[in-house]
Order: sequence, then structure tokens, then C-alpha cells
Amino acid sequence: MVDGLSELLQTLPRVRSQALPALHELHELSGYLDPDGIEEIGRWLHVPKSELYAVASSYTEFEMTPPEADAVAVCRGLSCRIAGADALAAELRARGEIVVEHECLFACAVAPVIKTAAGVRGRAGTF
Amino acid sequence: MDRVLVRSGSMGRAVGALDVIEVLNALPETEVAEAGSDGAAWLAPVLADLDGNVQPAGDDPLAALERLRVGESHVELDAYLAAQSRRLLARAGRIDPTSLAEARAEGAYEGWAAVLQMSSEQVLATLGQSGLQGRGGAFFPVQLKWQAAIDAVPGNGQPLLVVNAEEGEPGVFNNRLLMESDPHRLVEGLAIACHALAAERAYIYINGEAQLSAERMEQAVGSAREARLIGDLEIEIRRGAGGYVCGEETVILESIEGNRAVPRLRPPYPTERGLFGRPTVINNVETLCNLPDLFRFGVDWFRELGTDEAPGTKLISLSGALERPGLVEVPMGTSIGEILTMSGVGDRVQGAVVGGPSGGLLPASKFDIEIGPGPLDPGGAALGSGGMVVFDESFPAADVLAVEAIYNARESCGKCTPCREGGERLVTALQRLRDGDPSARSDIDELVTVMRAASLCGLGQMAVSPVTSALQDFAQDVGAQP
Repeated sequence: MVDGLSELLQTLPRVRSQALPALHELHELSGYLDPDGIEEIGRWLHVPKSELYAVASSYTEFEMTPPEADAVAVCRGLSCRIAGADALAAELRARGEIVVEHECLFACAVAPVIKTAAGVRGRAGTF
Repeated sequence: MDRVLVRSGSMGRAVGALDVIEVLNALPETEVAEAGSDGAAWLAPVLADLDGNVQPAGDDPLAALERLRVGESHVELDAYLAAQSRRLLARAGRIDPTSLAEARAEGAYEGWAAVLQMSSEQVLATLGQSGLQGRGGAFFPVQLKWQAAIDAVPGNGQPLLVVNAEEGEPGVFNNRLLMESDPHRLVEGLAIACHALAAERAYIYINGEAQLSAERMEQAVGSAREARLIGDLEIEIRRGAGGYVCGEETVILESIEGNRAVPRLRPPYPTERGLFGRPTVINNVETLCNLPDLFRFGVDWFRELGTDEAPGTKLISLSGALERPGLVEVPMGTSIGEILTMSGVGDRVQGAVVGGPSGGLLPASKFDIEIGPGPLDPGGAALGSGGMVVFDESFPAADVLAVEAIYNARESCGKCTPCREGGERLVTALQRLRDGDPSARSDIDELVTVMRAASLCGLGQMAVSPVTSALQDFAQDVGAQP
């Protein structure tokens, strides 16, 4: 059982087409797709756990394990790379930060862009 | 001073717009509201007063406010905005996007009121005369798509509308800006579409990362419903969860039905049997946002801008090596060079990626090409959904090509072998070419042929476009014989 999940699931119709909304609820609640939560979703929607994993794993934004809490995600989109994301990532690493690469954050006109627990930050090359 | 708008949006917030609002809110007798972006991301966040004067907040929002108070506007920003043909962006940055009243004071739902007096046939006829084409990249005539869904009703049930707001292409933020800055334009556009299609239900499929877009759409749909503007129309907002392929229209259908994010075989086309087996029209956000003013001002007004072949305007997202990156709205038929000049392109420019990872690398010598439907250049560049990423010698063509090839390989959903395996092989072969291996070229050519011919969806077929365009126009840079 994942705390708070069953209350959220109660608001969703018990049909297959709610698979993605339900996975989103779990992801927001736990920060990743907790296996217990996936099992609970399967029971609520009458969808086998294996199929929920098949669905979940076809999307890039779902974390399957708890993410590093204090990591800095550096956008690796082309615009950010052109704006110096590689040098930025190297500098952050040199300062002891945990750096992970992130798919495009779609703030391309204020590149380079990073994402931390505090949110998305643009023009991140200028410290 | 009565009121100041802070032009913000997701990019504005990423560069401190909320901090600026906090500073201004602490002032006595100043009413501060958060507006969406005006597109000028290079100056964001920007302060604006009711007279339309603008001042970038910069490092000192209080000084910027002082300049506004004496009626001083930012000359460069005024010129940047005035050089555009701002139709879809008419209200962007000029209203509080959470206020239905402010949108209506600037003409929102007037096109909808006109459409309510029209039959479905009349709406489709007007649409046909307007020549409006889909803005997601295929530029298919909107009237024909809608008509196909209506024709498929017998035996398949009432049509459904799906709004493609996935916009998962790096370098493109057109739809996000529309939804964040003027969400009622989309609500109005989809209401018009549903009226013409006799659809009672619409889905808005919004990118999983586009949090502000989703919030603004939830809010706008709620207030339009509360004001009894959209009747009994049911609108459900769904969120994607990442993956370039999620913007492919049949993948959206699979996703809404609760399945893996992989494309469907066609036929049947979605207009015949789409979501839950029903005739389904899938339109891009920008396409639907063209409808309100088309029906408010008429066909002649709509066709005043653009070309005979492609009437109207296009939003273009600009980023990369530019002095003024952001979003502009220009008539179809505008040259790429003109757009890049507005955006402050420098002398050291080498080219631009036009059409994203499915488009091509266009050299600066071809910037006189005008934007329009179909291929812009035999090498592979196409307008697509309207993204342009400019590169110069600091990040040369070979590096740009490698980024795009790696991206396409990583984003393959894996359904088709040519795309899944070919994408990876292409990355390796391109590196071999760069390292001077003479046998690499024939491998690349073979992979290009197979991936184009045997991939199911556009992502696989067009994943080779950056490669073919680079081999055509940047041959030496990527290590090939010219």
C-alpha cells in the first residue's frame, strides 16, 4: 500500500484508459513508480501488473526507482548544448554537485536550462 | 499607477519572473498581475503597463517600473513586436491568462458566437475557403480532415476531438506559449471544432513537462464552463509522460486508451476509426487557435496574410546562437533569413536546424528559402511545427548532427526494427565517417534507404533527414567527400 494512493484512485473510473492518469498520480505521490503502487493501480483498474509495467516503461519521464533527491538535471536538448550545457555540467560536477542529464525541458530560448528541487532555471550558465 | 503586468510564462518563471512579482507586490498602490509571455524570451521577464509600454525587468525591477511610470517604452522590444504579424499572439502578454473577462474584452469567444449561428456545412465551407492547413507539420487541409470524420459517422459513431498539445520536439514551444498566455483561444477553437463535428467530447493531450500549460487549460476550461460559454461540451485534459513519439497522432490515441506509446498501423485512419474506435479528429493547438479569429473576421481577412498556397501566419520558435531567441509570428512565405534577422542572427552563423530532429540542417547560404508546407529543401529541411535552432562555429555541424542522430536513436519506440536498430547503427556509422573510415558512407546510405522505406511512423522515416541534409550541405564538416 502506498499512503494516500487509494483515495486518489477512488476518483478515477475503473477502466483501462485511466492507466496513464493513475500512473501519474502515483508518480506525483511517491516521486517514482513504487511497485506496491503499481500493484494497487492494477487491482483498481483490473489491468495486470505486467501490462502496467509495459505501459509505464514506454514513457521516458517515469522514474522506476527513487530519484537522487539533490541532483541537478542539466538539459541536453540541442539548444542547451549550443548554449554551453556541456561546460555547465562539467563546472557543476567540479563543484561537487550530482549532475544528471535531462531530456529537453522546453525552455530553449533561455538556454542553458537546469532543473533542481527548486524548479526549472534558465540562463543557468551565468553564475 | 494602476496596474502592471509581468510577462512571464514557463520560460519567464525560469528566469525569475515570480521573484519580480514578489518585489513589485511589496510596493504600495501597485496592482501586479502575471501575464503570459509575449514571445520575447530574450528580455523576459518584461513589465508592461495598460498603455502597452514595456520594460524588461532586468536586474532591477524597481528601476524598470520607474521607467514605465514616466511612460518610457523599450524601443528594441517595441520594434521586435511591431515587425511581426501577431494574430494568434494578439493577446499574449497583454492579459492575465486566468481572467476570462480580460480575454473577452479583447475579443475572445466572438468567433464562437458567430459559429453558433452557422450550420456544420457552413463552418466547413468557410474553412475550405480559408485554406487553413494543420500547423503540426503536415499542413493537411483542416476542412478535409474534418469532412473525413463526418463522413465516417455512419457505422462508427459520433466523432471525438483530440487536441495534440504534446509538443515534444526539442526547440519548439509554440503550443506552450499559446496555452500559457491565452488559454481561452484554444478553448474557443476546440469549441468551434466540436460544433462543426457534432462532437460532444474533446481531449487535450498535454506534454507531461508542460505543467503551467496544463494548469492554465484546466482553469480556462473551468471558467468557460462556469460562464456557460461552451454548453455541455465535455473537455478532458490528459498528460503525456515523455517521449518524442508521443506527438505522433496514433500514439496519442494509444496513450489515451491506456496502452504503450507506440504508433498504430494505418489504415484505418483516425478520422475513420480512431479513439475508442470512433471517428477522431486530431488537431494541433496552433491549428485550433487559428479558428476564433477566422470566424470573427472572415475568410478575406484570414487570407490577407500568407501565400495562396498557404494562407495565414505561423508561429516560429527560435533558439540557439541568436541574440534575440524567442517566439515570433510571421506570415507564411516569410524567408528564413528575415525571421532569423528579427531574432538577431550573427555573422558567424553556419546554419540552422529547421524542423527539429525530423528536419534538416540548412546552411546559411540557403536562408532566402521561404517558409511553407512540404519540403523546404531536397536535403531534408522542412518547416515541421516551426522550430529553428541556429548554430555557429562554436558548435559545428558535425556536433549538431551527432546530437540529432543520438536523440532519434534514443527516442525510437522500438516497434519497427529499421528505426530501433537502424538509429543506433546510424550513430556509429556517422562517428566512423567523422573518424575518416571510407566504408562508412555506403553503410549510411543503406541505412537511410531502409529506415525511410520500412519504418511505420514519421519518426522513423524522417529520422534520417538530419543525416541526408548534412551530407548534402555540410559534407566536409561531417567527414564525407563533397
